[in-house]
Amino acid sequence: MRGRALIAVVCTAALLGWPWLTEDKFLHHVGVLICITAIAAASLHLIIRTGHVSLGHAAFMALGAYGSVLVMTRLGLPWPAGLAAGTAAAAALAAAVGPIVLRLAGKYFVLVTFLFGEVVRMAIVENAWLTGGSNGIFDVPPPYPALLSNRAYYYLALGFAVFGVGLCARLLACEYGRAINSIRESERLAECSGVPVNRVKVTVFIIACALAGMAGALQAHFIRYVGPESFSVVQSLNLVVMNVIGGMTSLPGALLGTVFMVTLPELLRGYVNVQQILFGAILFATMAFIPGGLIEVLRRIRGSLPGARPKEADVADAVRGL
Amino acid sequence: MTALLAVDRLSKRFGGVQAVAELSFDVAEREILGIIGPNGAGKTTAINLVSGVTRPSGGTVRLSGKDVTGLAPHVLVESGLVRTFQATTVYAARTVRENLLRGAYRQIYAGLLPALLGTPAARAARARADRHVEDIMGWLDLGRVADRTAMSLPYGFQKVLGMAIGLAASPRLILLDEPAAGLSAQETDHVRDTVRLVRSRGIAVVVIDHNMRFISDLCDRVLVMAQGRELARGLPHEVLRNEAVIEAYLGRHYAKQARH
Repeated sequence: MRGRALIAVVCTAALLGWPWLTEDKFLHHVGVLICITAIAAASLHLIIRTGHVSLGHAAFMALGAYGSVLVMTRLGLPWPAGLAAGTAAAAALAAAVGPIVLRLAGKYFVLVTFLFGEVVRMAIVENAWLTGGSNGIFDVPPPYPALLSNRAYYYLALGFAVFGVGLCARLLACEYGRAINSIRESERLAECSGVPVNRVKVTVFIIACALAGMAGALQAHFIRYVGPESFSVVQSLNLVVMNVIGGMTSLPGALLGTVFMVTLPELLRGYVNVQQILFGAILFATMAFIPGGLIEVLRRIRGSLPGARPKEADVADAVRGL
Repeated sequence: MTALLAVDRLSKRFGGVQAVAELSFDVAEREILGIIGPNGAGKTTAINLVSGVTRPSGGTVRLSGKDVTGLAPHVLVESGLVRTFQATTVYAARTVRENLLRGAYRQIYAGLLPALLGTPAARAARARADRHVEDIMGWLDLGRVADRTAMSLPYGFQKVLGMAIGLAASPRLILLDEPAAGLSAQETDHVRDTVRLVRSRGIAVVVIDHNMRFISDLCDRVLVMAQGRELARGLPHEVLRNEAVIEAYLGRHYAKQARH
């Protein structure tokens, strides 16, 4: 127990302290992106844990981003109102779409969420009077002038990441998480044990999409630009890849995947042409050789140390994948 | 006295196939009712209709007099009706204890917010569920395998575990879909004894099976189905001597022989 407390203290200190070890604004920038993307990836992870892989998650980020920006710029309301409006808009759309699409199983859900993402993107492009069309909206105001520096924004994003990822973690760890896992592993059995399968799925979907909206809003005010391409299917796919690379049934895996997927393009800046190919190769390699993702690699390493053994259930679950 | 379960003229048609036709039966408190019949007789469809997995095209299902026709399975669990599946259905990668905790959803779940916040009510619910699960593992003799994964257990144990998951929901009536299918004689006896234990706890049972000896050992009454309809009903030894039943199972030739 003492060891755990020590790890927690060290991690907290590292997360809070590292921006002061460097003056490199670019590193601060990457730090912010990791925090924001972690919220989006963790929220998609929630949906994946119910057994559905959504290829439209970035659309809800878009809703949060445009909602927040428009409320701030058009209505002249302060940033908290924008953030709340963006989050609520994403949640409302999820509540409208969720009960319908969540009835679809497996690949049909993937296909329909993919199309949904495209519909949202096209709706943004077509309604230029409101959204600026394909050009997007430039000069998005920061939440507060003080948050213009990357380092300051990092602390804001970190705070929201702790809240968003923490909410996902808590949801999975409590009895609700038991119901979520039951549904993924055997929907039929869960239903016959009294789990209201559809209600749980829709609730999780709404919470997850609200968090995605929040992440989108944070991103828009940080990049200080919103455009349809930031929230295209490519971004949705990236969020899925983060979960796959990290480990489909482990939240820490999704976070590992986020760090990997946000930093890797930055490291590969010199090789823009081969970036996508490399991504594809990495994805294939992961699914072929370590279906449990990065988190399984960590577990294997830990398992080879004396005194530690991976949990049978976790490994079996990881191997089975989805 | 109203029966615990009252099924009245239940019917289901799949396209051109009348899977279940005008089926009626009652189950009393603490009763074990057997349903037998050749393959394709509509036994599993009947259980699917009663447990809410399939929506009937006609007829009613009443639980203690309350009309529950067409309600979803999770709603029926609330009313005290659970079922098991013909194919072994357990959370294979999870421990026996975790399987049972998942079955005890009704006890364990205190609402989304209380669960998220870990309120005293949520913790009390969890503690109750823990005791309940220990209790079930005690009387079904699953305690010694509590921390083994379901898939590491022998097939017969998995069948009993499937039943135990249902019992974890504290039902008043449990529907068992072929609990002895594919089991050895010894394992079948284990399942039979388990079902008797279930009844001794005041839970009524409806059990489907092919195994005549298993059914006649176990059941208070037997209902025989053929081609979606009731063929015969009564005490096990009566029904098994019924000519129409023998004919349905073995064909006319053997039915004549049996008469002599």
